[in-house]
Amino acid sequence: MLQFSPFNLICIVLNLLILLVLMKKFLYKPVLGVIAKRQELLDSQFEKAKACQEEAQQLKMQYESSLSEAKEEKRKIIREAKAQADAEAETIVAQAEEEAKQIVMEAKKTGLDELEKAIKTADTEITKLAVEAASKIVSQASCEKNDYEIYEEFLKKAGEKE
Amino acid sequence: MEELNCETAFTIPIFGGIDVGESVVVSWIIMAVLVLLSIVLTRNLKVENPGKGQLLLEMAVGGLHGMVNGMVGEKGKRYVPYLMTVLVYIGFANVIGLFGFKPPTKDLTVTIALAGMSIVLIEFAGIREKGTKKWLKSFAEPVAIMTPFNILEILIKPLSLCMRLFGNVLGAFVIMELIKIMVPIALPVPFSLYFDIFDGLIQAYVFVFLTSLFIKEAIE
Repeated sequence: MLQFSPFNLICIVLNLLILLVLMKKFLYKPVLGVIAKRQELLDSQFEKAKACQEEAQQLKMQYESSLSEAKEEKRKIIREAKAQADAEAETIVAQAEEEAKQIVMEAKKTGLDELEKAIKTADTEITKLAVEAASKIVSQASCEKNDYEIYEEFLKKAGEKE
Repeated sequence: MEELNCETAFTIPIFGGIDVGESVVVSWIIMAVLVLLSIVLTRNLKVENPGKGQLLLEMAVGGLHGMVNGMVGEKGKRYVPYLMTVLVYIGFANVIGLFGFKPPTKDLTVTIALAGMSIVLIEFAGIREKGTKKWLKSFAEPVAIMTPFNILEILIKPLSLCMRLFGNVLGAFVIMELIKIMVPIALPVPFSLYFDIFDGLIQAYVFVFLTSLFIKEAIE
């Protein structure tokens, strides 16, 4: 019970040291290694997930910004197109009005010209007829036809011309 | 009374016969069991999708590691495997009485060996951490008059460690033997649960706890 033997003491010490080495090799290293590895794996996965999330967030923001940009651009394009269309329509209308005015004016002008021409021709005709009548009267002074007949004839001719 | 004796298992017939104690042989058995268990249990450990057995093993080893690591502190990380080994060894040694072996910790030689290793480790840790000069100086702290007591502590610490373990295991053993002699049926069961299992494991824990506490003290 209380005996003490140095040899046994040395044996026990050596036993413990050998046990320490063996346990380290066969129990602690593999088990703690596996735990550490799993922890590492978890950490790396967490890291990855975090990175993915961040990336997704960034992409989302990018998309959102580009989307709003596109919306803005769309609005701008529409606005511009509208303005352009309006301006074009206005110019077209103005042009058309101008043209119409011109046409009307031209028509008026041609009408007037025509009238003037007609009046002119009528005038010349009348003059001609008058001259003719006068010459006729002069040449037929000896003729039995009286002045009244000549006048009638003249009127008839003029009426035909008109 | 012959149960109390630590018998000689066999004698090596050289140098006029060297007696190999029973405790040494039981230690070998404990070692063999521990190492074989380790080898069997740590076969095909998986990082992913571990089985229930592996999870249990990881919990046991990881928990033990965490516990000892917490006691000895971050600085004393290198001593954790030794402390764990001693914890497991003393635990098994105290409980092995259940299997009909005499607990090696009932042999004073074993507890002296354990306590001696502890004090060597404690002082080694102190020297390693502080350097020889500072370590020598630390005996005169906090005041010079404490020096003799501090030196005495080198003896007292392992003595108390050794005697506490030895006394507890021996006492438990004696009480259990007495109960077994008086009432051999049924009654020994609850007492055995307490003395063989609970007290045995508590003593293992206390031994390692105190050792790691001293180490922590020495390296801070």
